[in-house]
Amino acid sequence: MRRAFYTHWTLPRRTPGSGYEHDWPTRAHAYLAWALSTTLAARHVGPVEIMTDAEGADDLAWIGLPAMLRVGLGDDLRPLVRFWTAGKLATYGLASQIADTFVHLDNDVFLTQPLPDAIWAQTLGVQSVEPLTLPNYAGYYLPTMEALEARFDVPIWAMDTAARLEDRPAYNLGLLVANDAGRSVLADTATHGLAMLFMAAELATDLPPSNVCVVAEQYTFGAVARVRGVPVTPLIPDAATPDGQAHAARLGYVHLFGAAKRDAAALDRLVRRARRECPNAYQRIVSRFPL
Amino acid sequence: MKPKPFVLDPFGGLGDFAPNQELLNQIKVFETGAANATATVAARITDQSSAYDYVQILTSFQNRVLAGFFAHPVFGVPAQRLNTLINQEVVRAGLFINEQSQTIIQYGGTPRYGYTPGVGVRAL
Repeated sequence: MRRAFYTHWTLPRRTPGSGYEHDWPTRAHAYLAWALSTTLAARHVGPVEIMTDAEGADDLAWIGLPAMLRVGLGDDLRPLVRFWTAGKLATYGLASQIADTFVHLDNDVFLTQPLPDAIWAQTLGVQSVEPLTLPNYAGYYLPTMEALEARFDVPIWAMDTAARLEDRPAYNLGLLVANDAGRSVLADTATHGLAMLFMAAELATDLPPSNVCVVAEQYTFGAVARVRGVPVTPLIPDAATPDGQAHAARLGYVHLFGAAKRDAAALDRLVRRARRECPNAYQRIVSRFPL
Repeated sequence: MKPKPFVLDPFGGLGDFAPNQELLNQIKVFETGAANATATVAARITDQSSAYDYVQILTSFQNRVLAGFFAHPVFGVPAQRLNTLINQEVVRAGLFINEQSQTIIQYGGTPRYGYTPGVGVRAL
């Protein structure tokens, strides 16, 4: 049976100075996103589970989401509070033990249609490729990777020395599909990614934590898949290109990342769609947190 | 404060730099002072203007060195090393040049997508 997993690790948001206190512009928008995303996932995927911590379960229980709240993120992640991807990595490991075939979604991803059967048939499916370097960008992630490599031996990178840093694949994991043959890649990604973050928490405190997060999740996943010889299939081309935008719209795949969370038109679409698709949750949310 | 517009000049000309011993000396100077410069600049960056100045200086220098690299491949190795160093300095200072908006933003999210308006939004 296909399942959908989410991660709601609240410790970074509850920790002043972690850099992750804010995400959506208001709490109403955050809760509406949870309601809409899980409602659509329950409709188009199957049973929905949200991996969370104890505070996260309290945070979401009152909404009445069509999801099981599973408290699986514990205090062992506390040293990684500066790295928001730690929660996702932990969920990847746990989900790979729970389900045969599953998709992990960010709560700003909305499946307005069922995912194509072709993506479920793949061992691993992802939203899109994530380039490591880009023209005219001052380094992008490459300097962070170089700095991390220079400071400690990262096991997965040690396995992947055949490729230049620039050639190592990485992926945007707003959506991540794994079937039975791909679960072990997710388990290894969790192991290596979390190990990297624990080392970074001690040895790389001067590097931008958001960059370290992306390297630990997206690039570790790409490296594990590559080393294991497991193919990765993107759902859409590069998400930052017009072609990627067109593909996503055609597939009904929506990811409100970046400036979308500050864009009035996009937020209005979210509100109106949530009111239509999940009216009970909508009423509970806006009566408690007026828009 | 609103960031100043940033105009990237990929090859900015050779300027005062000739691809010779002077270039190598400049690289050495940069390497020697990089750590101190980063600490100094990071301390004085309080707004987008100073961030802009810092990145502009680095990028200008970088582009001129790379221009020398392209003119004389024999200098490719040190020029590339300098390129990496400069990029590291920019990252350590927590800065990022946004390509589309031509502005400099500080890290605080996935930099490339800081100004990207999501994907597939019209399907929502």
